[in-house]
Amino acid sequence: MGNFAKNKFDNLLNKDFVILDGASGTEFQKRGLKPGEAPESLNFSQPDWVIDTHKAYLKSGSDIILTNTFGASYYKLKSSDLTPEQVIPQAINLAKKAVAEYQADAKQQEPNSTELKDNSRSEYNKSQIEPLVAFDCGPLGALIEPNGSMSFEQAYQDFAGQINLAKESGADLIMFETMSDLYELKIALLAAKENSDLPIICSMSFEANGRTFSGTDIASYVTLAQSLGADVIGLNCSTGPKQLLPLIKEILQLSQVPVLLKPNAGLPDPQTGLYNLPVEEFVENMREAAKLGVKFLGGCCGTNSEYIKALYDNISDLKFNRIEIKQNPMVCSSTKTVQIGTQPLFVGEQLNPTGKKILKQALSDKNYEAYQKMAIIQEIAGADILDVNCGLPGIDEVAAMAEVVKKIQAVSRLPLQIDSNKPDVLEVGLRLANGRSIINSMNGKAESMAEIIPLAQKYGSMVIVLPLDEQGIPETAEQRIVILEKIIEQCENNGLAKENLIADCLVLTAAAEPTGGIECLRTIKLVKEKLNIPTIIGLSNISFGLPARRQLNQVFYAEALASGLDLAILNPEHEEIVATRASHMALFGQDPNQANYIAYVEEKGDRISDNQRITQTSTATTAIKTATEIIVAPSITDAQSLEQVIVQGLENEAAQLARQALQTEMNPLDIIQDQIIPALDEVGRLYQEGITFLPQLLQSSKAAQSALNPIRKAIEVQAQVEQKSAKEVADSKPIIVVATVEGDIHDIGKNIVKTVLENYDYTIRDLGNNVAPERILEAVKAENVKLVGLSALMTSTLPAMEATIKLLNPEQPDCKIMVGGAVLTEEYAKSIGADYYCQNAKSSVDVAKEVFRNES
Amino acid sequence: MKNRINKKAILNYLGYQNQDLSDEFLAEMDEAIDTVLAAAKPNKIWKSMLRSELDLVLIGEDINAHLGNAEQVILMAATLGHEVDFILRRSQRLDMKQAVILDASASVVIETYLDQEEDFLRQEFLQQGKYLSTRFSPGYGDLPLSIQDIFLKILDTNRKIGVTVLNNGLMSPMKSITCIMAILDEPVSKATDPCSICRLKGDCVLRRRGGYCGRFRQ
Repeated sequence: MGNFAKNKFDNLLNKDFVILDGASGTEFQKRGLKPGEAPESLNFSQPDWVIDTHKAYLKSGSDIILTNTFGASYYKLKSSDLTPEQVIPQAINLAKKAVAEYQADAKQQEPNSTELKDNSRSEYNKSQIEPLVAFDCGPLGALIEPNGSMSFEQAYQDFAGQINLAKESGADLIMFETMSDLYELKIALLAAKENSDLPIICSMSFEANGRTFSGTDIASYVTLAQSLGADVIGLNCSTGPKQLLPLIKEILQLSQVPVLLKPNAGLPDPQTGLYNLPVEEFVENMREAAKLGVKFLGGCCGTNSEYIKALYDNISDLKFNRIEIKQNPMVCSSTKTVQIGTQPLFVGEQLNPTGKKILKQALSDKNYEAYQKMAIIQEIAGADILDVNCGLPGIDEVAAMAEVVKKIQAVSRLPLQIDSNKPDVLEVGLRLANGRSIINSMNGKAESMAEIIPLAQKYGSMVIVLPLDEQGIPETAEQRIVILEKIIEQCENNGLAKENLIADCLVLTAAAEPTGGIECLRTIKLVKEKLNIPTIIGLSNISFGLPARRQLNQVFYAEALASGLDLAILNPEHEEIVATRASHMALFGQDPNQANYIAYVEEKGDRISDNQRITQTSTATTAIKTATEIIVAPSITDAQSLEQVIVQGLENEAAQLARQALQTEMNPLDIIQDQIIPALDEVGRLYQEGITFLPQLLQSSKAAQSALNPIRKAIEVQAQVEQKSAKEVADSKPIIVVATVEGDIHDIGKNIVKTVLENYDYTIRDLGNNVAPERILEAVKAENVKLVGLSALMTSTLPAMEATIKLLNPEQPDCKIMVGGAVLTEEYAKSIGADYYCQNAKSSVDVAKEVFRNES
Repeated sequence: MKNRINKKAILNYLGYQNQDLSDEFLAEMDEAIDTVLAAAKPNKIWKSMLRSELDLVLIGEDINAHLGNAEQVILMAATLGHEVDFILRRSQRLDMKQAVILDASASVVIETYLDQEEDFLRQEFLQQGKYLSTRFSPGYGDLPLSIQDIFLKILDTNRKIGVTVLNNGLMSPMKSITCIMAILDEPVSKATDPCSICRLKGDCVLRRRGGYCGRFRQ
């Protein structure tokens, strides 16, 4: 059936233009559909309305009609008395019935009807192209994490279920339309590809500002949809055709597949609800789109058969003509696209646990906040793409990659490069990444190619290819080219085009391989000359084992750029690397008028003067400065104590005084007990008594944190000397689990509490927001936790809080539960069985002290 | 919009009780407002409807008292968009102090945007000799949050301005507001006292401190 559908669709592609239908929702409203009522119910209550609407479009010239199933997702229909199992087959049957009746009518009338003579629809029948029925699939109606609470898997199941029903009911193709979340579209496309081989039209709804509501831009949309195998890409709904023309031009430049435009009849009048763009204007703009090369044309809200008939008539004299534009390959997140090969790019290398204790800890604790912080810092430092690696012995790497990818894309906009030597880890990363990613990596070994090529095809990814094979790493550039040629051939034989590949030019350690540097640069040049694919290196390998590595890296990077390097995996927090790239581009014609270079130097100047200021600001850049350790140490003029500077919220002073205290060989634990804890108690008292307010409390937390950083390092060193494992050190600290309850995605309150508790040196297991009771129970059991903090912001999520307590109490009677949140009261907290009610972050500290005093 | 933003309201959200404010803090607050305004893509949709069509929405005594004898009402939804959610989420990973200031600023920015849109509407209706009541939102008094779903469906907010209701009546983007206004023939003589119908009446921290949450216009 699939192939048959494909053939019918291919026949349609032979036409100059393909006409779709117009609106159905607004048409049904005219007939009496009530506001808020589901149009899908009409498939049963008013089937003749549905058939009549379809037939009116067919008579007007539609080649494709959309079934009345826009809102037929499992999620949306849950609140009605209908199911997709009822709606989808019924709606497809109605559409097919409409096509059959229309064809019968046309046949009957054709020989002697004067009416139909000037209706060029009759030509269609001559060319035997029959109108197709597209299963119309709209957004699910729920938002996917992190914007909402629906999981990737739930969304996938919903789409897959709908698609299977459509396939079984004989739909000719699938049309995803009015999508505004690129992640949802990705899931929909995967579900369609994995459950059917029906042709796919996909269409998103963009605002005139060039973004969807969830922030996706045209380039990211086209990059993703095309890489996942959409047959047609376009725009529908949102506004009138004129406003969408600039956006459709952008799509025409980027897309290699046919393009669709199905706009509204203008915008509705809020008082009447009517759309008011006149037919003539609509058609005129649509003709413009057709001339630009848009092949699939139709109408959305407010249009009717009159619009479609006029559209059909108006473009009948045009010949389809579209200029193909060759583009460099692109990767994307949901909001950002990066073109590969246009200018030098940074792939941030820091999201890799190798040599990074904090990420190893994150992986073994399954608490991925450190990855999130690192991702934000790499992005702000100038990374264009983030390499993500979760390799750590003894963990479930697949589960870790899944969580890390989700967590990173909640806080970063960058496209991802999924880094693993395990195909199942790569697959989960590619699948969950919101966008088009890069695979790191594949090599010339038969096994590697057999595993990776299908992944790259399925997820439409780019692939880094390494010129090494069963014989090992070849020494010379020429030998490497031979392997790369072999890899390209193997890829192309298996349907993976060369355009998807990036050549790793292999940096060998200079200290061990004297000619390694030269051969790498020669490989870069040869790949550019002979293979014409983008190049990448992992930069820092060059300096391994040598002192002052950063300057060696810098020089090698400059040489590699001069040789034509496109991407480098490196740490963009290293200022000299950023400077090298900016300078290279300014000097070699990649930076018109050196504008970016000048802006870079000005910004850098600002940063330098910022560092010299004793700063109390709490901007993101301050956090970056802390992270990158480029702070100029402040001079402490007065004889201030550590306690005082924490109370005053002076971060740099607090860090410096903590370091000074450590130099006097004070016991790190004593510094915490005798200076930091009393300071925090004072901070809490001032807050409790209303002498300070929340931002001041949090500023002091930051100061305490910057004092604690060197102290914790010292404790680790001490533990190593005493040969205690990191685990033993961690075990000595009480653990508190915190979570925002199921259904609630507002977790700022919980995060405030966490920040304050962390200062008191408790180990916090933050389970995040929208956390199911079972997961909280699991976390409590896993480490025999004695205190749990639950947060809920809205009255409507309080029942979930109660359910969590009801689950925890009998199972873990020793575990105390504290609750907080804007709408909670002491009385209510007690009534749902909480042990403690916390009015603010300070009271959570009091509770923790009480609980763990009793413990010890 | 920047000039209209009430910094006192931001401070209110942060629990301010006349503590000394440093210049650094004030600068930070300005920066937060700018950040929110830069990220915000404010958008709104409204529809005037017959009160009699809205049985499923106008539930409870408080909203019906608020609407008085109006036969027509306005349903309205407004949002700052997902980008603001993103920067709020992101800031909570780096710096909670900045995060709470951004969050409070965003709450005030959406209110301010709605104030502005409300003023436009007021002018528009005044030209037809009509007056609007103040805004009343789901969750106020005994108007349940559970109507949010049907409310958003009627306005088709998912398609029109990208606002979706999550389970439990919460909206995404987070900085979104829905509200109801009465269309009246006479100017409103007495606005609903915001605190008198509040669930937290008698147990409100802000009230005890002599303030209030600022959800209603001053």
